[in-house]
Amino acid sequence: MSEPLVRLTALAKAFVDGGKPHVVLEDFALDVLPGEIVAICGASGCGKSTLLNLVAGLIELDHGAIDFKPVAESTPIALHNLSAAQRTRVRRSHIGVIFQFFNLVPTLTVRENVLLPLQLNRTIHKSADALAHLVQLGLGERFDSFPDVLSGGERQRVAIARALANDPPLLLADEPTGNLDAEHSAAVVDLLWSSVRERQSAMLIATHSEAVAAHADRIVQFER
Amino acid sequence: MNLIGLANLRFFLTTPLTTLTALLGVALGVASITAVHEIGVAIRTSLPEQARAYLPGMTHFASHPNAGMDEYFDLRGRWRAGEFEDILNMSPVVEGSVVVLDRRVDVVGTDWLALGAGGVVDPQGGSSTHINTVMASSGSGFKPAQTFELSGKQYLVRDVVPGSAPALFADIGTAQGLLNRPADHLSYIAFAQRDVFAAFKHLLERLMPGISRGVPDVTISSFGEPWQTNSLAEDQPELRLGRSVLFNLGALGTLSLVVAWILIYQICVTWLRRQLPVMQRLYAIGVSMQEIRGWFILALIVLGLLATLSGVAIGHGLSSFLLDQAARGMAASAVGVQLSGDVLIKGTFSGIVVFAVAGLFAFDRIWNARVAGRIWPAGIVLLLILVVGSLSSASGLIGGFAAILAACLLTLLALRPMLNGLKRSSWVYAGNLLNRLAVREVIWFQEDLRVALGALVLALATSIGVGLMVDSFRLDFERMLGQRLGYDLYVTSSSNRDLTSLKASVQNLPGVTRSNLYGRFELRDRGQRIEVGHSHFDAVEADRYGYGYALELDQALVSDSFLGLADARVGQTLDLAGRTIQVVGRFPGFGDMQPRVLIHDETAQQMSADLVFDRLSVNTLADKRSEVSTDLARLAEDLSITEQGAMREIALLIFDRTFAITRALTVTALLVAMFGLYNSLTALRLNQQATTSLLNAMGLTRLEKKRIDFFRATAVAFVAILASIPLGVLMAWQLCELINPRAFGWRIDLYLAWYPILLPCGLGLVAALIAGLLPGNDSTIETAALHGEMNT
Repeated sequence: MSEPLVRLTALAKAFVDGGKPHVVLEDFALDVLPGEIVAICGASGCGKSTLLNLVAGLIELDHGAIDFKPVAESTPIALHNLSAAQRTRVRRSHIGVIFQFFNLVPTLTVRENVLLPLQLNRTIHKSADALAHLVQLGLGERFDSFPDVLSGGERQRVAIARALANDPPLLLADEPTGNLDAEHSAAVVDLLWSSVRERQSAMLIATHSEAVAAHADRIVQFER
Repeated sequence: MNLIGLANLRFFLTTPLTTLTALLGVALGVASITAVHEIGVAIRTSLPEQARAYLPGMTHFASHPNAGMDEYFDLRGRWRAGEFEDILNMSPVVEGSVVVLDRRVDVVGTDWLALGAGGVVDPQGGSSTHINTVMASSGSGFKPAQTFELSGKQYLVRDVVPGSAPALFADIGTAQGLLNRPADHLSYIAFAQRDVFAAFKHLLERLMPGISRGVPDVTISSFGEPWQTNSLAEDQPELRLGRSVLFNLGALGTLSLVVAWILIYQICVTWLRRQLPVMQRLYAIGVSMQEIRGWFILALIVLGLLATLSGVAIGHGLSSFLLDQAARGMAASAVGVQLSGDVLIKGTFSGIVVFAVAGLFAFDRIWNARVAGRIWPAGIVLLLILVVGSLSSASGLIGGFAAILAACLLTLLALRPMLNGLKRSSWVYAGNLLNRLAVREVIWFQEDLRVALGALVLALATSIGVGLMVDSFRLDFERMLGQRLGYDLYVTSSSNRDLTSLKASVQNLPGVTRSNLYGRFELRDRGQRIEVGHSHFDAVEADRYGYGYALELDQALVSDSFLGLADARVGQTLDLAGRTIQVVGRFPGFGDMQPRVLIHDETAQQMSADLVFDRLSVNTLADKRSEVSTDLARLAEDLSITEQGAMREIALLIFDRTFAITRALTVTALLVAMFGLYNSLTALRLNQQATTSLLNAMGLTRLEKKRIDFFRATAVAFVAILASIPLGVLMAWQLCELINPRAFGWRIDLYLAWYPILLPCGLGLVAALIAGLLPGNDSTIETAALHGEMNT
């Protein structure tokens, strides 16, 4: 069995609400293998988004460990021991993120949105591949359009292209189809899955849709 | 406590930095309004001391070259019969100057009984003059009961009355005798004209001291040919100059008032936008729109009250400081400022009423999502005002300032199409994607920024306009000083005595290369007082006024204000008090209280029998100046000797201190705009929170986020500078070419120097960067307070 890309050990996270701690995650453990797609399912407020935010390094752990081992790194990166600035650098170079809403910068065109992660990583030489992927996703005619003229499905397709532009080994998707109808949702899921498989990336996808979760290699069910 | 009120209060408490900066912004706005008002009141209070107060209640005068007492009695009879309904009182005046005991003094004779109480001579109050007795001003140097002889007649000084100008007051007959005029002679008839706008002007003066100077005068009663009627205030040069200065200050104050009010509106818009999601939720659960609006306005009033109190206190301190600084420069005692009811009302109005009304207006527009209407009809009206106010000198000062205000409002109107134009072409911007993003946010989300941007544009343009005008003025002033102070020493006598006898002794002193005597007298021409200066105008002397040749008989150099009065040009011949004079040159005459004409001594002798040379200039060898100065002081005890360098230094110091007030006010306006901008940028950043979160998820570092803030602020400053430079240059042109000639009678050559343009632009950039880079907007507390929830 190969070494896990992400190893989560005894994770704990609580938020203070009205002066009292509200425990969201407690003693949570999970291994995600390279190329594996794991669906995180559960009701609203059960901690799906918190888990993704912890893995992305957007918020700090209360307890536990997150070890991240991309192929390019010789030893695992202990995310839990890193500062906010160091976590930011890991995120920009190794992790792609897709949300339910607000996936695109409204003042950048489709092309610019997709090139932004490359520019942040100073890997703009890979732009031809990223833009070619955009064409594969059926957005070849939309390069110079701003997000406000795109449909919901088109926006999510651009978001997929943007999240994968940098070839990240890990993709985090938080309810990526929550805002779409069944037809567009199915189309986006197909594209997302094929793009991730094609690149051998791993993906943690938070969803409350059984249909979406059914496509995953593994399902982790959260309970309140 | 009411839960909606509590929610409002918590909103302010959980966003302390933006609440504090908004408070500071409004407080500074109120402070600038308070400071301008108090400085205006202080200047106005000091004016009556400078004006001639011997004609109490009189507002106008009528004259013609051969006026006689019979004509006065004829007019008085017609007035008594009810012919001139708008005239409340009239009195004949005989006026002139005479040399007594080697000193030139003014002589004023009138019917003191007709004038009534309050004059320097008040028969009803127990002081009266009789034939061959006079009252003397304290500045004349006479003592009570002193006698003097003139043209073989003895005169008695009955008493001394306050007044710095040397003057003698007498009845009509005595004045005619003192001036050696015939018994029928009359200089003019002073009269009190009913002013239907008096109450309106009084109200205007209470609102903005000095601003009523721009209101056109009432139509003066006409006595028919050949009488010319004029305002006495216009005839009192010191008062006219003071009022013009005051009007300029008042008009600049109005601009700072506009900037402050725009800022207050911006703060309302910003806060409303930030609270709107919460308000909409309250509305959704059944709270009425009126209740939401009521609590919002109440919160604004509470904050406005705090801002007003602190603003009035800051403004009061600022005005005291600026007046003290100005007084130091002029070696005068500072004019005290008192916190008046008027300024409190004005501060309260701006800080509370304007805040509340602006809040209501903002609420109506944002809650009902009203779209701004078409701007071109307003644009056409403003353009018309700009053209008419600029081209028609008949529109006066008020027309000039209306033109400036129209130009400002036109620029503000143009901001929307300008930003829309930039937005349409924004996809072509090249460069780093983060820079593009920042610049586009400014252009795209202009609703959050446009009002604050407008305030910044106005503040910058005013700073550029006033700076260019002051800089051009200083350059002209320095050049003029360089010409005029073409001597080394300047000698006057403390008793204003004739220095002709001194000249011979001075010429013989070792080290003296040249000396020249100067005299002056007044005459009335075209209904106005004219100062006629005379000297030995050889080529060297004439060169001091920019004319390189000696003046010949009946040739004259005249000031700009005289050219304007006579509607003449250089090269023309014109009539001056019955003598034909050829105008051979003009000079700016900055600081001259009245129109000036310079002639050669020979011409002067033919115009006036008794010339007094009360000033003397001396040129020395370069290394002998201090020795000559010492020798001069030994010649007579009453001599006052000033070195050219010292005079130049004093003149420039007075200039700089005077305009320090204007500069301080423009910097305050810039500070006010900065606070407005901070609030707007905070709103913009909060409205773009989703983008920030996305960028955060993509791995944007703190430095890169600051870079976006930096470019966003730079873009704001760039747009503001782009709009304010043309407006500022136009404003400078209007101040030099319209306002100064209309207010003071002189025009200033506009120099487009880089310093007065770049400095405000630099300050504007710094203000925008401070506003853009100040922390607080992206703190967790503020974000949480805005969103009111945390996704788990």
